[in-house]
Amino acid sequence: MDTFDTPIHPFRRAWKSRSFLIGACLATLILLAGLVSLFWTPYAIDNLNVADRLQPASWSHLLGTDQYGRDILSMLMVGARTSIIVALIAVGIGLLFGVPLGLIAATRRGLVEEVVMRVNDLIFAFPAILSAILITALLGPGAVNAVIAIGIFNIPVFARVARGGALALAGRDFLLAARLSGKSGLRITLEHILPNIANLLIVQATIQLSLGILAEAGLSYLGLGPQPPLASWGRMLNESQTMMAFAPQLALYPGLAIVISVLGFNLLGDGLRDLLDPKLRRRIR
Amino acid sequence: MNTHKTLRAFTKLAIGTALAMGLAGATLSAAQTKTDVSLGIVLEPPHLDPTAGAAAAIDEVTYANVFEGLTRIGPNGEVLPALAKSWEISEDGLTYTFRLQDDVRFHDGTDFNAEDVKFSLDRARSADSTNAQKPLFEAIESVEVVAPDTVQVVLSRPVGGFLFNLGWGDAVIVAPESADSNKTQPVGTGPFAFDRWVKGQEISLKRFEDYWGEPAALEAAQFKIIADPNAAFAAMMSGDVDAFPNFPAPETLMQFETDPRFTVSVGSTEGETILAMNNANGPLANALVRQAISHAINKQALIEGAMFGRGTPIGSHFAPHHPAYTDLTGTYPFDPDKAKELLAEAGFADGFTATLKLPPPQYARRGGELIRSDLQKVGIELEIVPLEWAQWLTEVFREKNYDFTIVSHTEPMDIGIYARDDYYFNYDNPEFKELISALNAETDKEKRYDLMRQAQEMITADAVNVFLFQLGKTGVWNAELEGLWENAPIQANDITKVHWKN
Repeated sequence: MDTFDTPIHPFRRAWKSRSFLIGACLATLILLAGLVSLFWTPYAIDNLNVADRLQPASWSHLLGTDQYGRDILSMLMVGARTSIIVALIAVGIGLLFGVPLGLIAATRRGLVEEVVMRVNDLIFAFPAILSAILITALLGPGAVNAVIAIGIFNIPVFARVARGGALALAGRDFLLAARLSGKSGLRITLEHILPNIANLLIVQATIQLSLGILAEAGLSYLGLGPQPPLASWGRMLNESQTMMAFAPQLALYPGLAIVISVLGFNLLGDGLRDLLDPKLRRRIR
Repeated sequence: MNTHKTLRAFTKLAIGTALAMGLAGATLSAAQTKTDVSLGIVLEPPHLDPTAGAAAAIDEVTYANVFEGLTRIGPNGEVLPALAKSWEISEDGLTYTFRLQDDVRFHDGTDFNAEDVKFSLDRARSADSTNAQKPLFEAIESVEVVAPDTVQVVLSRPVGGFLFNLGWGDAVIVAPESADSNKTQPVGTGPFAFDRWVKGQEISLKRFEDYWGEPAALEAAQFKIIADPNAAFAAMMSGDVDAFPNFPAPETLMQFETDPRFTVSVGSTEGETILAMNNANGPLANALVRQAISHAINKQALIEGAMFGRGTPIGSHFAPHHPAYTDLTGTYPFDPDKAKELLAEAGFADGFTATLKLPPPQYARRGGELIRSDLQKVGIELEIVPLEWAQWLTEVFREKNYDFTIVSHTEPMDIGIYARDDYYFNYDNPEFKELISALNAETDKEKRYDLMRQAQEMITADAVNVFLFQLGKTGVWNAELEGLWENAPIQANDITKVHWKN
């Protein structure tokens, strides 16, 4: 019985959480691919060479070449970078605007909370991908507009998480103590509430990252995402669709890349929640 | 007893067979009674008045189906009688007397007569006309109504291809009562009347029962707007569209060719596909730069990469199947080093940056990526801007707000556009204008051909645009469907003779 009460060291728990491990591996793979592509790709992806097109996998082109003779591995690496950058900045937008809004709502309560949260509900009620299409259709296709479109839908998500976390802390002794010691509301929020909801935000950010990658792929598939010469998994999928009959690998690879990254970040998020959630701390096996 | 049983079994069998056959017969006749057709088109027309717009999509819906002219162009480019059943040309080639068809009605029930012809031609050539092909009517001096069924057109100078010109979609006959509303409610004399238009989706036509000529076999037709090659492929495979006269995904044709449900037709078009350059804009105003760009683009790779081989290289703005065609494809061979030299000579050794605005068709979107890569190798950085069709027509074609664009000019014999003032190329060469005036005035065939050759050479020497390739016409349709055109001598999807096989 005693062993159940002894908190297990986070590292050991990490080793024991299968979803965290698998998620971390897959996510690292995608992150590494994107990072490496900043400095090096096997071939330049903006150098089209039709003479080399549709080559099967070989030692010179590990995954073969596409319809314009571009190296598919290089395309996938740059695609990883595109996805991650778009999703990361979109998560950043969500954190930057959503968290303060949620905290304001939680600390101010009353009318402010009502207004903030109802506006959030309004945005949240829209299917995210539909509104992202609307926004990019209005602003024009492109990486920046895709970031904005996806980012806007991260705002209510983080606002809700931040507000919920902050409300759960309300009335705790350490907050009362801080208030008695004369700290202002803002300082209490920044010094005591924020660090205590950080784990919730990290988990949510990881999950939003995977949704952002999916959204970016969706927008690119519709031609509303980053434009050529930038590589994007969604556009690769779209362009390869009519070539399925004779070059199925063109659709297979970007499809797999999307699956791996979404699965990876989702599992990572799940695993992190298990690790960081104090209530679950003793239940991990 | 036994025989009785056998007999009963036989009867049952007979009834069963009869039923089965009857059912089969019923389904067969159901297939036979299909009396409409749905056609896929890539671009949505901006409106439906062929006398007021340059977009080929207008004619691809209305030509010969809804609107008719005095003459019309047949499937092989021949001039055929239409609303004019016959004509006489005076000795000097200046006076054309047209005898009109009898008992012709417009779709709104009003009568067609010589007054409508006069109205239409005068309207097209008037000073404030919005006709996109005004030069077709330039030589007309007067149009006189001789009798209700006779019209006389007098020209100021002989025009070699005048009867062909009258067969263009831009020269169709409209009624004064409906001319102003044709953009949304087209009213013509053709065998099909406009039914409805669901914006962004489809335009439907229905058979006009009071048609003067041979009635159409089809009762109705839908033109479905499908720009996306994936969607086009899916629509064709699922039978959602019966025909796609200009199929946008050449890489899938192999699949259709091996599928007995479909007919694949490979023909020619009048579509010179060009990388158009704004000749008045920055570095592109310099002929050396334009020549450098012509050298920098690998056209053969472009045809392979963007069209999967379905295209013929061209060296000027002229269709290779025309008798006056002169092969200028060797003028600017693919040579990036030469391109760099020319750029350096023009003072752009470090290249420059520009935009490449692309309309929706695949030849443009795919070609754009390849051209961007080719030009990057000589130091020119292009930013690709994909545009919707309506945006392209406004921004590029009308406002000339662009550096580069890719588009296919599918009008027949349209080298004259290079002589136009205020055309979107912004090419202004008085010598070329003179040449085209001379060509318009010339009636001798050999001399005309000679002038056409000179015209081709002149725009190629000036490298006005990069002449990429002649668009192939690759159509896919249901194998049971007959009567669609194999070639596209003029912008049209003529469905007046289309019918389902028995």
